[in-house]
Amino acid sequence: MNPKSPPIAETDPDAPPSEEELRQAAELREALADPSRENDSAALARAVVLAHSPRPLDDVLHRALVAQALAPRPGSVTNLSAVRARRARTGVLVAAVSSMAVAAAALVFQQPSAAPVAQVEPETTPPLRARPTQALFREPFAAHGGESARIDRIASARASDLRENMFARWDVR
Amino acid sequence: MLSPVVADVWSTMLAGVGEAETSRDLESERLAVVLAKQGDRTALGELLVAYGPTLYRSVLLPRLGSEAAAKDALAETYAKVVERIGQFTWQGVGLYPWVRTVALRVAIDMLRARTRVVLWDAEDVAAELDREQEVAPADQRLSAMRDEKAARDKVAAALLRIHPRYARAIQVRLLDEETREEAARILEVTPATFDVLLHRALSALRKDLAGHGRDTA
Amino acid sequence: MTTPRFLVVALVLGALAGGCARGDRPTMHHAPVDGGVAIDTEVMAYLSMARAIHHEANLKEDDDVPGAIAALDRLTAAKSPHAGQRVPEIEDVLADTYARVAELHLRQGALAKAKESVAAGLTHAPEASYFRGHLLEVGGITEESRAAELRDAGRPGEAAAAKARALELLHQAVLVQERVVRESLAGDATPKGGDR
Repeated sequence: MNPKSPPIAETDPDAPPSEEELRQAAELREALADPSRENDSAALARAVVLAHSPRPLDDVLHRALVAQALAPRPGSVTNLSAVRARRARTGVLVAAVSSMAVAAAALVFQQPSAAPVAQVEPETTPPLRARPTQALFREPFAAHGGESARIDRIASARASDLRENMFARWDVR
Repeated sequence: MLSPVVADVWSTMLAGVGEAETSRDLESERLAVVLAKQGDRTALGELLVAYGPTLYRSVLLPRLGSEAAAKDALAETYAKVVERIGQFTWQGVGLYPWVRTVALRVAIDMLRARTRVVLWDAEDVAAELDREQEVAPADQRLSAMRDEKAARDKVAAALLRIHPRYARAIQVRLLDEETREEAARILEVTPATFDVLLHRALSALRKDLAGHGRDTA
Repeated sequence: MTTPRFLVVALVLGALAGGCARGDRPTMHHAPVDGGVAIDTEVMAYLSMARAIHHEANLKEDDDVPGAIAALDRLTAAKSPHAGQRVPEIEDVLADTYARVAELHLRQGALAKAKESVAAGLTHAPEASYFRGHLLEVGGITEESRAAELRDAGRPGEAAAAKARALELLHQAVLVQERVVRESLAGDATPKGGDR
């Protein structure tokens, strides 16, 4: 232990719990099983686990991140830096939990959990949500072909949405 | 939009490339960097594919404490690398140290924006970066080993600062990944009592982490 | 392709043909702005993968149609993010992918497989959209090819039935597309929040 920092005073670990402690303990237990539940202690627990035993990155996701980074962007790439420079230092960093994280959390904590749901954390700006892509196309499709170009357009449009959502989470305006 | 040629090359390349295990001598890497700086996105992609898993697992995930945040940070790191690769100057130690520095700066930004207590705060990572300016940069494999050891050491040091019984609860349930019932049995309490013990343990850890930075500043 | 799945496909196409006789009236729904899945890295990863796979098919389809189909089959078989939740972009991508697979099967003369792909695609495009219209059109072209095949095989009765199905599917395709155009012009087709 750091001799300059005596241990922070703590209650007797085995002392009888108060009602409030029982309630918080139950909340922690539920939050460990369900990452969609907000809980600071559960988040710290996951951070400890990830520091001790980091999970590898999903290969498919990684390939997509690389492909996304290399795809030419319609706007100026330097806007990223300019936008980040304006970001205020307030707000809470909101992290969306992937389905993988939910599965990993359930595996680690081995609790029967409700059906995995995406974690929703308090956000100051509603994120851009998934929606039909019909609005991207003004004319009926040709009888043959065109699928690849259409999917290019869909991916491009939603990549822009993703960047907006990420900026919003980091409180970039 | 990926050009068809790039996309096809991707399919072949990405299928077989591992992470740090991919053997690439420094000269091959230097040539890839030269091409990347000239705008060859295939070469740049190859470099990112090689470094990404290590950056994620060893650098970003432990410091940010969340898979979602680490993925966002990795995406942001890639964006910056793609944007700034033209400014990189080869110094004979590979590209990884530079990319790692970019990743750490992204992590610092993200940590500064959050209020939730995790193992690292922004100043921890900033101090780490400052110290590293004084030492020779390490290659990817060695750097990853150091990063992973540093993460485990940080966890161990934090546990040493709290009550041993709390540390044991965290060790057994979280690090050893025992079930709640088994953890309770090991600590000789009922599962319901173990829930309280774990709650107290994490509260103690949070209090310590929130106060430790100030003590050592 | 397993027999049960083929039966399902046959039933779907049969229902479609029957439904066509009554008039195909898919509804025009807009995805809710609130409450749906947020555009996140998981969705984007899937879309990026879809884009890459279609480009792979672009390279292969000129001289390796089976290879192009195999690539697209990887996409239709891939696990979608946010299991249990409908992600409209992914549904549209799958609808278009199945349409493309159907076209490739058609090119090879595998009409039964083309029909199956159209049927599978339609399950991802239940509402009036160009994606649905395109699938119906490909379905019509498939039936037209089937009609020609039956005629050449000396089975005029079945050929006539296939031709009738083809005409109905193509007619439904036109109706869907006209409806989308009409509602698009009226400004009702744009989901809340708009698209860029």
